[in-house]
Amino acid sequence: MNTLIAVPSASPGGLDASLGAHFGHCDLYTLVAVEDGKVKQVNIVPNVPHQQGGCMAPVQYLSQKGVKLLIAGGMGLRPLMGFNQSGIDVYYGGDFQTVGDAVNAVIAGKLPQFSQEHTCGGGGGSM
Amino acid sequence: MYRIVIVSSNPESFSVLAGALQADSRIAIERVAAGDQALALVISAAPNLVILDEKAGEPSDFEFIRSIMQRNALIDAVVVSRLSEKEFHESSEGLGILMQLPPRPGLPEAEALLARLTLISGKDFEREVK
Repeated sequence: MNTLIAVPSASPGGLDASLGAHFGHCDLYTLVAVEDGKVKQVNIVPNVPHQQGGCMAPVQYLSQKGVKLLIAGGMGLRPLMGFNQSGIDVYYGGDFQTVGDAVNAVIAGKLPQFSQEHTCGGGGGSM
Repeated sequence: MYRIVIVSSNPESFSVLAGALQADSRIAIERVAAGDQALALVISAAPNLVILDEKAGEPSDFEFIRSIMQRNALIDAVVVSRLSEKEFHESSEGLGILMQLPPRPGLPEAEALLARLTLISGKDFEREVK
């Protein structure tokens, strides 16, 4: 597996950080570059300011950073569709405590794809 | 050009809102009649924003918006609804709807919408509507 994974994270981010409960309202994103099935690089980037109805801002932001895969615990229908339509695969990682555990699980093929059944109202009612 | 499609069976109820929005020369408004062809026409038009009148969506207004998002999540949406704020929030969760409008929206709603569009688009839309 060679890819760039984004994980909504609680501060300070990184592999040991907790997953952000909801992608649109997380503190920041941990970006994990994976090559040959192994973590090669970890970067931390801030989230974008959230406006009601501005669900597509983080989608476009992460797409521009080259993200190909997102692990999330919660997300609304619109951003899920936005990620899917942008070619970013979304996986459900809500059962994992840390970013690193979730990343290892997706590398091992143990995470389910985030489906419409996983979608939620999203904190703040807009994402 | 920022393109807006209004879906309604009663387009004159949007005359004040549309007039105020079109005071900004960067905004173009198209109208689509409510009905079974409306979804296909909106998807085909691929506007920046769709404004959906109450009871103009098939099979329901929120399902109509859901169908749009499933095909093109880049389209922002505004919905006319008489629901309370809480009811609207609960019914529309996850759909990323920009704002709720009252029936026959007027100048205050146009101003609020332009302010919201400025926030999410980064374009400095004229807020001084007349």
